[in-house]
Amino acid sequence: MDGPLYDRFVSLVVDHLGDSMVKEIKHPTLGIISYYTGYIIVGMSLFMILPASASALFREWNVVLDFLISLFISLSLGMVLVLFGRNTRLHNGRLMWKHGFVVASLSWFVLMFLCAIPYLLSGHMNSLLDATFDVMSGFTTTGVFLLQDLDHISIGLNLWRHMLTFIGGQGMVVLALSFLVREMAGAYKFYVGEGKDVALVPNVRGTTQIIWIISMVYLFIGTSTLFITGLLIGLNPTNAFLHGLFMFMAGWSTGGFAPNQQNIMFYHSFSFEVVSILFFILGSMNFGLHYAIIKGKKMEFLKNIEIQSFLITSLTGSAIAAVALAKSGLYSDSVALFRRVVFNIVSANTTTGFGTVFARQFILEWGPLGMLAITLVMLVGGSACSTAGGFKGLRVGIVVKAFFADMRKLLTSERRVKIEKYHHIKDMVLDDAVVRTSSTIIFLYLLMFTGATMLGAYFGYPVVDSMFEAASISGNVGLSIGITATTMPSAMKIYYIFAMYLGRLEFLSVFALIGVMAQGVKTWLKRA
Amino acid sequence: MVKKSVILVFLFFLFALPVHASKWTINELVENASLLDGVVVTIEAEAIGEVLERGEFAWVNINDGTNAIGVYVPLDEAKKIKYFGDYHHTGDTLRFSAIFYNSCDEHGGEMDLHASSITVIKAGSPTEHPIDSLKVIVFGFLAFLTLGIGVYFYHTVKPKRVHGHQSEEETE
Repeated sequence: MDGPLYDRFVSLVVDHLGDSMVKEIKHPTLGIISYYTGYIIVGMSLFMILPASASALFREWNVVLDFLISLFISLSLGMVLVLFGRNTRLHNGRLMWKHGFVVASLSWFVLMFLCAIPYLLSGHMNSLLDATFDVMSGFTTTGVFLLQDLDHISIGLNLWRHMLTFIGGQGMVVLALSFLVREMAGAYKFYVGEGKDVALVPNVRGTTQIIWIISMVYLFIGTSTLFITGLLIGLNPTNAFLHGLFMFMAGWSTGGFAPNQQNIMFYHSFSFEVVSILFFILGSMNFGLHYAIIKGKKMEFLKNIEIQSFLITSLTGSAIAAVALAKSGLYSDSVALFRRVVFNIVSANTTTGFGTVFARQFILEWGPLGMLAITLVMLVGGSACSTAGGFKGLRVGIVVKAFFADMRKLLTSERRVKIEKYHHIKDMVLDDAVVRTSSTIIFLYLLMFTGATMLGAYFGYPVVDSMFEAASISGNVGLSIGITATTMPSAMKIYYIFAMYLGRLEFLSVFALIGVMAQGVKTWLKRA
Repeated sequence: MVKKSVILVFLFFLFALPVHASKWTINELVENASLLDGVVVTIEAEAIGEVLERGEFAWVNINDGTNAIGVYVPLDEAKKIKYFGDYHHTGDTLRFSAIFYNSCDEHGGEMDLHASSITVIKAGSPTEHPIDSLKVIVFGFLAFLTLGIGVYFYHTVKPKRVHGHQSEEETE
C-alpha cells in the first residue's frame, strides 16, 4: 500500500491525529493490563472473519454485515487498548501474578460485550443482557441459552455460538499466548489466570500450542466421524458437515450447545449419541493426560486420580439414577436406560449438557433420588486443565484421599510416619497446602451454588428446581430444568452470568480483577 | 321432561366444550407426558430441519413455537413436505393426529409421536432478508475508522524499516 494518497493518509493519522488521541497510559499496571487485554481482544475479533465468510457462502448478507460491524468495533477497541499500553514493551520483566489474573478476567469480561454484538444485531435476542448471557454461557462452556427461535437462525450465527464454546473451552488467553505474543517473560501468569496450570513442556508458549494442536487434531477426527454418522442417519451432506462440526465443537468443549432446539434429540440416533459421548468424555479429560497418552504412557489412563474419580462418580450416579427410574418403570430395557439415564448422567458429570430427554422431564419423571444423583455429579464436574467445569474430579479425589489418610493416621501408631501420595500424570505428595487449596475451591463453589439456589427460591422457584439449575450453572453444565428462560428475573440472569464466569476462571482471576479495581477507586478517591 | 333435559345436557357437553380439546401444544405434551402416554393427540406445527429417512419410515422434526419434537411417519407422508424451516425458509405447517409416547419402546425410550398420515395446512415459503441500509452505512463508517486506527497501530507498534534493514526496536 504505497502512493501519495496513502502517504498523506498516514501522515494525517500518525503525525497529526494519532498521538494526540491515543496517549500512552503512564501507570505501569494499567498500561500492562491495557496492552495484553488489547492483544487478546484483537485475536478474538479476527475469529469473526470465519462466521462472516460462512454467511457469505450461504448468502446470509445481513449476517455478513453483522459480523463485519462487530469485527471492526472489536478490532478498533483492541488496537486502541494496545496503543494505550504501548509503553509496556519496556516492562516485560515486571509482569506480576496480579497482571496475569486481571488480564485473563478483564479480557473475558470485555469480550462478553463485544462478542454479543452479532447476537444483538441478529434480532434473535430480547436484550443486551440476554445476549451477554449467551456469550458468557458459550465462553464458559455452560450451554444454557436465551436465544430465541434457534431453529431459524443463520448458519453464521450458529457457527459463532459453537466457536465461542470451542475457543472458550481451550481459553482465549491460551490462544493469544500460542499465536499472538512472542517470547514473554511472565507468560505463565496469564496462563494460570485463565484457570489452567498444567505444564506439558517447560515453556508456556509450547504448552499452549500443544493444547491447540491436540484440539485441532480432534476437531478433524471428530468432525469427520460425526459427518459420516450424519450421512448414515439421513442428513444431506451440507447439514451432515455443519452438524458434525457444531456438535463436535460443543461436545469436545463440554459446552452442550446444539444447532437446533431439540439438542441431540434432533437426530433420533443411538449411533450419533454414542459418537458424541465418546468425544465429550475425551474433551472432559485433562490435556496433560492426553499428552501423556500421546507420549506413550498408556497406563496413565488407569493410574490417574481424575479418571478414577470420574469413573466412580459416573458409575455411582448412573446406578442411583437407574434405580430411581427403574422403580418408576418408565424405561423398559437397558438400551433405553443407557440412552435416557446413563447418557444424561455422564453428560452432567463431564459438564457437557447434551440432553436426550426434555429439560422438564428431569423434575417431572426422575424423582428426588434421580435429581439428587444428577445434581451431585454436576457439582463434582470433570478434570482440571480440561474444558470441563465443576469442583473437578482432581480436587474431590484429593479431599477424599486426605480424609482417608487422616483416618488411617488416627488408627495407626504415632511413631509410624507415612507420606501420602496421589497420582496425577506423576506421583505427587498429598500435603496440607494441596488439600487446603482443593478444599477452598470446593467451598467457594458450594457458596456460589448456595447463593444461586437461594436466589431462585427468593424469586419463587421451587427449591429442588433452583438447586438443579444452580448446580448446572455453577458447574458450567448447561442442563436446564426450565428456570433459565428469557422471562427469568434480570437479577438472576446477572447472578448466573457471574456464577458461570467465576466457575470457569476458578475464582482467583475475578477476585484479582475486583481487587485491582477497588484499589484503583481508592487511589482515585484519595487524590480527589 | 326428564328425557328432554338429558338430551339437552348431552348436546351441551357435545358442542359447548372447546372443539380443540384433543389439540395440544408440544409443551403441553411434555408437561403432561405420563397422562397422555399412548393417547392420540392432534398437533399443528412447522416442519423444521430436513427429513431423516429410516427405510420405509422417516423422522420429521416439528416446532410449534412452544417446543420441538420428532414425529415418526411413513416415508411417503414425509415426502409431502416441500419446505422445512431454517434461516432461508418458513417450513410447511402440518396438522396431524398421532399417538404420543412418553417413552417409546421402539425408539430407545424417546419421547415422540407416531403418525400414520400428515396434512400440509399451510405451505411454507422462502424467507426474505432484505439488506438493512442502516447496517451498510454503519459498516462503511466503521471500516474507515478501523482503517485509520489500523494504520496508526501499524506505524506505532510494528518495526520501522530503516534503509531496507529491520530496526532493533522490540516488536510483538
